[in-house]
Amino acid sequence: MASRLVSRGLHALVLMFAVSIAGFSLLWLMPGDFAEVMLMAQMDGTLPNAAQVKIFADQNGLSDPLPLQYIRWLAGVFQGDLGKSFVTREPIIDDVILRIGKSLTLAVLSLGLALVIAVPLGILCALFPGKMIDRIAGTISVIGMSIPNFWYSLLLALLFSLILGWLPTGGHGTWAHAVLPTIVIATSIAGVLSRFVRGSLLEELSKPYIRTAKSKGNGKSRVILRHAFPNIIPGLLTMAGMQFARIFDGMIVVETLFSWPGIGRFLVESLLNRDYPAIQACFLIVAVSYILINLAVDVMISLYDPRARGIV
Amino acid sequence: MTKLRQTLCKIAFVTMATAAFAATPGTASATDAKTLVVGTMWEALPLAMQPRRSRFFNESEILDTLVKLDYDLKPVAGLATSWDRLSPTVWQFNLRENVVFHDGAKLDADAVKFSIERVIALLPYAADLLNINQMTVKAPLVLEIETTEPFAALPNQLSDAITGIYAKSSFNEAGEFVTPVGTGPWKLTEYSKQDHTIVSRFDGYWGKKPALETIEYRYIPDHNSRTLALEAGEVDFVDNLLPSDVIRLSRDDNFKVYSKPTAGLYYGAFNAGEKSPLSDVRVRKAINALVDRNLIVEGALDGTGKPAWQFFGPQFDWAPKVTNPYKLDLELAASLLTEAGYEKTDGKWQKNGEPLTLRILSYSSRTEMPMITEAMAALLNQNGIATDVQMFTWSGMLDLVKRGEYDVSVVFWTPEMTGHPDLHLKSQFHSKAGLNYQFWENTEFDALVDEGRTLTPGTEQMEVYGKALEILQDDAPIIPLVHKVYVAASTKELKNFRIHPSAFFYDFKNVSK
Repeated sequence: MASRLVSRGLHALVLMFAVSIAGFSLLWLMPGDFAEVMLMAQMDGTLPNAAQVKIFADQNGLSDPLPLQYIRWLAGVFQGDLGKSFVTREPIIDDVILRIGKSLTLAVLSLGLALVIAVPLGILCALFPGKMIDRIAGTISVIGMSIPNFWYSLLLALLFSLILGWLPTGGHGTWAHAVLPTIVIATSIAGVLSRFVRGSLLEELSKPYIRTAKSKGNGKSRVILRHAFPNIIPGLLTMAGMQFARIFDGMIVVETLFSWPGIGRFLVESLLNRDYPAIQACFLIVAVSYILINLAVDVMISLYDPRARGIV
Repeated sequence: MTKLRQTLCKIAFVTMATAAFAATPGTASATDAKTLVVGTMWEALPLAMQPRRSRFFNESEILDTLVKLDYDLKPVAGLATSWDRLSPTVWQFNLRENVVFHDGAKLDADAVKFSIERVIALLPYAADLLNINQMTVKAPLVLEIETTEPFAALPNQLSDAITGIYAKSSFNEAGEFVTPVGTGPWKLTEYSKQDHTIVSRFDGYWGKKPALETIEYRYIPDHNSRTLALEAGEVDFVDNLLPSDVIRLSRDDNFKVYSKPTAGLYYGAFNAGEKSPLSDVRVRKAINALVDRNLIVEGALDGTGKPAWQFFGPQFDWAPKVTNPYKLDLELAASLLTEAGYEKTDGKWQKNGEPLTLRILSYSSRTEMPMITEAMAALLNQNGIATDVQMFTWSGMLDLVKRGEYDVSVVFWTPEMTGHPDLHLKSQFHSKAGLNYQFWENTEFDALVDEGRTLTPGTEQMEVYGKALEILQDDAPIIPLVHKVYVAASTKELKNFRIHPSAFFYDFKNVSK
C-alpha cells in the first residue's frame, strides 16, 4: 500500500509541475510587453521608454531564456516570493497567507456543520423513503440548495445582528465573525450532501447483501447504520472533497457580504484589478488546492476501504 | 482496525461539531464613549504611499498640511501660520511654533523641506501640483519656496491631501515610505489587513485636544452591510451610503443623516483619440445634449446629487460660472450626429451600416458609480446609441484607459478640493498632464490653464479660468454627470460632526459621543 501512496503522491507532483508551468506562463500571456508592464506598474502607471524597459529587463533577468526564468521564478515561489501586487505594491504572499487561512477556516467549519446536518437527515430520509419526513426533508434540502446566498446572508444578518444583536454583521478576527458565513454556506452544502446520502443509501439498500443482513434478523436501522452506511462513505468523502474545494475558492458573494477576506474574493478582486501577479497567485492556489484535496480524499478512502487500495 | 477507525471517526465528528458550535455568540461589540468606529467603503490604510492612501492620512488627520481649508474652502493656517508672496516666483511660509511629530521630533523648516521633497519623489503628480524649483531654509521656522514659474496657486495646492507633512521616521534609510508619522491629532496605532485601521489621540497635538481617544476605521466593502453594521450598533458612523438607505435612515430617529454638496464630480471622460468615434467633437457634444442629468439624479440616485451641466459645482464662488452650460436638447444632438455623418435607421444611429456603439468603462467599488453609469448608458440606448458597459475596479479600469481601449470611462474626482481651479484642469486636461489619458489636446486651453495658476485670485484670474472652462464646454472632452452630495450617517449620540466641503476631511477632532 505504501508504494501505491508514493505513486499517488508522485502523480500529484507531476500535476503540480504542470500547474506551475501554466501559472508561470500566465504572466507572459498578459497583454503588452511583460517587462514594460512590470516597469509601468512600478512607475505608477507612467509609460516608460524603450531604453528604460531594456535596462529594467536586463536588471531583472527578463531577457534571459524562458526555462532559466522559470526555474528562478519557481525557486522564488518555494521561498514564498509570489511577486508584488500591481495595485498595493505589497508582497502578494502576505495577502495569500491571510486569505488561505480565512478560506480554510470557513471551509472546515461549513463542511463540518453541513455534514452534521446532512448525514443524519439523509439517513432519516432513507429510513422512511416517500414518507412525510422524507418529503419535508427533501423540500428543505432543495430550498437550502437553491436559496440565493446574497439574499439569505442579508436575512440572517438582519435576524442575528440587527434584531437579536448576537452576532456581528461582518468582519473577521473572532469566532463570532465566522458563525453567519458558516451557516449560510453550510445550508447550501447540506442540501447537496443530504440528497447524496439519501440517494446512495437507497441504492445500497437494493443490493443482495442487504437482503442477507435483513434475513439474519437485523432491524432496519441497524441494517442501514451498520451495513449500508459504511459502504457509502467513500462516495461521501469524494462528494465532501468537491464541496470543500468549492467553499475554499468559490464563496465570493458570502465573503463580500460578510467582509470575509477569502480566496474567492481575492481572485475576483485581482481579476477586476487586472493585477496579473495576484491572478497568478490565485491560479496557483486554486489549482494546487484541488490537487491536494483530491489526493487527501483518495488517501482517506484507501485508508478506510482496503478494496479501494488497488485503485489509488 | 475497526475499533480504531470508529474511534477516529467519532473524534473527527465531535471535533467538527464543536468547532462549528464553539463560536459562542458574543455581544455585537457595543463601543464605549471614547472610541468612534467608522465603517468605510474602501480599505482605509494599506501601508503604501499612493495618492489615494496618502489622502487618507490627511482625511483622518494623522498628518497635517501646511495650509488648511476652512468650511468655506478658504485657505487658513495649518502647520504654516502665515505666508507671503515675496516675488512672483517666491513664497515664504512661516511655520507654527512648538509643533512636534508623533515620534517626538520637532517640526521645523528642515523637516518640512524634507517631507515635501519625499512627497515629490514618491508621488508622481506632486511635482506638477506644487511646481517647486527649490526650497531654502531661511530660519528655523521660515521656509522659502521658489517655484519654476509665477505660481499664485501654491498655498491652495499645499492644502491638497497628498502634501501632508511626514516626519523623517516615516521613511526608511533608502527613502522609501514605511509608516505615516505626522503632527496631526491622531497617530496610527494599529493596522490589520482587510479589516481595520486604528488611530489614537496624540496628546502632544498643537491644536485643541480631541474629545475622543480612539477611532477605528473598519473596512466594510459591501454597501448594504455597511449600513447594516450601523443599524446593528457595531459602528458609529458610515459614509457613502446607498441612496435608498439614506432615505430609510433619515426617517429613523435613532440615526442622524448628514448630507451636503461637496467637492466631487461624476463625469464620463471621453477618449478623444483616433481609436474612438468620440474623436469627433460633434459626437461628444451630441452626447452631452442627449443625456438628461436630472433623470440620472432622480432615477438612479433618488435625488442624492446635483445634476451637472458644467465642470465645477455651482456652490463654489472661487470658480467662474460658465456662460454655456450644457442643456438637454435632442434636436441639437440629432443635427450634430447627422453632421458627423451618422443617420438614424430603426431608431439606431449608424454610419456606413455600423451602429454607433460606445464602450463604457467604470468601477463598482464606489457606491453610486454603478447606478450612474447604468443610467447614463440607458439614456444613450434610449436615444439610439448602443453601449457596451464594463465594470472593473478602479485599477482595472485605469489599466484599460491608459491603453486607450475605451470610449467613455466614468470617473469620480474631487476637482474643487483645494479651493482653486488649477488642481484638476491642469492635472487631468492639460495635454502634457500625466493623468490625461483622454488623448484630448487643445492648445488654447493649455495656455489658459498655464496662465491661470500664475495669477493672483481676482478678476483677471476669473476671466482666464472662465475662458478655459468655456473651451472645456465647447470642445467637450467630458460629459459632466452629477455633482456630489456627500452623505453620511451616524448614531444619534454622535455630536458635532460637520461635512467638510472638500470631501476629504473627516474632522473628527471636534466629534464626541
